[in-house]
Amino acid sequence: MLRRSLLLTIFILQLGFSATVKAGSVVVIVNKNNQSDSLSSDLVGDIYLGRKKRFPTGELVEPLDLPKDLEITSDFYKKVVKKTPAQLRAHWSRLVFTGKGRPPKRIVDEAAVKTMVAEDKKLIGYVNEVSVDKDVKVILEVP
Amino acid sequence: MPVKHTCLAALGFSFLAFHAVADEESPISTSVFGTLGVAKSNNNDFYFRSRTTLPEGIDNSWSFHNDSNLGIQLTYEPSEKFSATILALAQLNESDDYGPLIEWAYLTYSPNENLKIRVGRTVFPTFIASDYSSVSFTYLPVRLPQDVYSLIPFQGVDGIDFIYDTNIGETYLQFQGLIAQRDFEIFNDGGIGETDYELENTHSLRATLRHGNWSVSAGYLKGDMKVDVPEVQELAVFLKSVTNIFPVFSSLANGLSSEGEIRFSSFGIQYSSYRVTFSSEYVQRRWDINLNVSDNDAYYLMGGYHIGKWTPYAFYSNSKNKSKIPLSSYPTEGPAAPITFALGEFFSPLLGDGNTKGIGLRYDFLENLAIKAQFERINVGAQLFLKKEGQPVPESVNLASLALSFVY
Repeated sequence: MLRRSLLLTIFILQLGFSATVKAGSVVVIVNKNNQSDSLSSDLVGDIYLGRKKRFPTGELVEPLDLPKDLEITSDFYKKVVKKTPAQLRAHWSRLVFTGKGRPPKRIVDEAAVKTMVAEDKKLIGYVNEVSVDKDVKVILEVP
Repeated sequence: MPVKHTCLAALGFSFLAFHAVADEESPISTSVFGTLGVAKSNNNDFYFRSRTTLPEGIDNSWSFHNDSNLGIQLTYEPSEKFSATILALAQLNESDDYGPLIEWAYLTYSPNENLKIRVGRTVFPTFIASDYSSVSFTYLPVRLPQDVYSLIPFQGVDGIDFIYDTNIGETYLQFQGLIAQRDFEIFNDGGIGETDYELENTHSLRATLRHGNWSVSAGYLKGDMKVDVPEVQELAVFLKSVTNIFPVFSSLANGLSSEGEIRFSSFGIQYSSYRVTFSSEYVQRRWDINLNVSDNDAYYLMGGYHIGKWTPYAFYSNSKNKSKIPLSSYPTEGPAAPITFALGEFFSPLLGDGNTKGIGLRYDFLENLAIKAQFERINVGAQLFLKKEGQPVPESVNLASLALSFVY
């Protein structure tokens, strides 16, 4: 009986934890010394589509991307950039093959993104909120 | 035919060999696009072509040669300010083979993040999608609306251009300007076949304003065109020789020339969201002289709805001839009738109004690979049709197309 209760408790805790991680788990981060405190979702979307090259404070911005097969990547692009993977690829192909732009660099994982953003004021990235620490600043919480 | 396939395969293998030695840290990057497309019409008396540079097209047999292409782009970027780009495009060309053509080859200097200055061969966005018209993956249908996009008879031009972009609040603005020239060939139906053109003193500008999901843009291109077309010179001499007897032909005789100014203008609007894609464009083509390029007003409406990886789409395009060749006022009876008949044969490919209704379904297998199936009903008017053996122009033609498009 005790064992069953324990298992049930662990199961409920797991459910709660995964719900916490899933809901509002993607955050957009910048260097802690960045002068901006918050950015709109549309503005971040424009940065990731190559249409905005400076923060509202006038500082240069360079977006970092994550591997395209990660769930966080498709979640970020659906909610913030509002593009399907194929729409996004078509967008960048239009720019690449006409010499007008290059897509953001893909970084190997969230830890590397957080480390790079912590070291460079012009970088912006998106990670799961559990990856965030005091070295970076959350500038947008993705619902 | 084996030569066509060998050229296409050689280009593909050269890319694979090159890609094997390139890596992400290298200053050299490669990008590839391609389409494997088949199409057939319901009419065996005509060829339908996707470009006016093609000497032949498709009839009522399935053919790969209308829409298939392969493009490979190499970019060398030793620093953020300088880069060199070359793009080889293999598609059926005016020589009736797939010998790769260099449609893009340019050096770029970027003094800051908002400005690019490029020298070399580039493709100008005379209309919204002109500069990526070869990359079928980037737009919904198999090919761009022909009543509009066939009006531009050239692709890459040689010269200098700039691209400047900036933001005003949450609105994105982009300007692109060009000074250039280019020699090219097109194939026409009727009395004039293969024709060499020289485009010089070309000036063009396109401005795009984007806000949220919406964007509007306008473009203008002006250039001096010279045409090597002895048939028209002979026609002018002949008409001038008979104007004493038939003065009705004098204005046409005096209007025929091999040089003149050509102008394109366009206005477009686009909407793109997670679910809906829509675009529309209105364009005009004007040429000061009446040869084998007509004056046209044209437009299209195109939209699609994304349901997961599926996108059903539809489009309508329309082109009206605005050339001032007064064929209808010429006598159809009496001694001048044979001349009127000959002129009709000569200029008839230019004078029709046309429209196209199309529906299709796109499926994005992968984020960089899509298959498109499309059906069109074309009321013939565009210059994309070639008669095979002088049959009368049909009122309409049905066209079925299937294409696999990718980028890499």
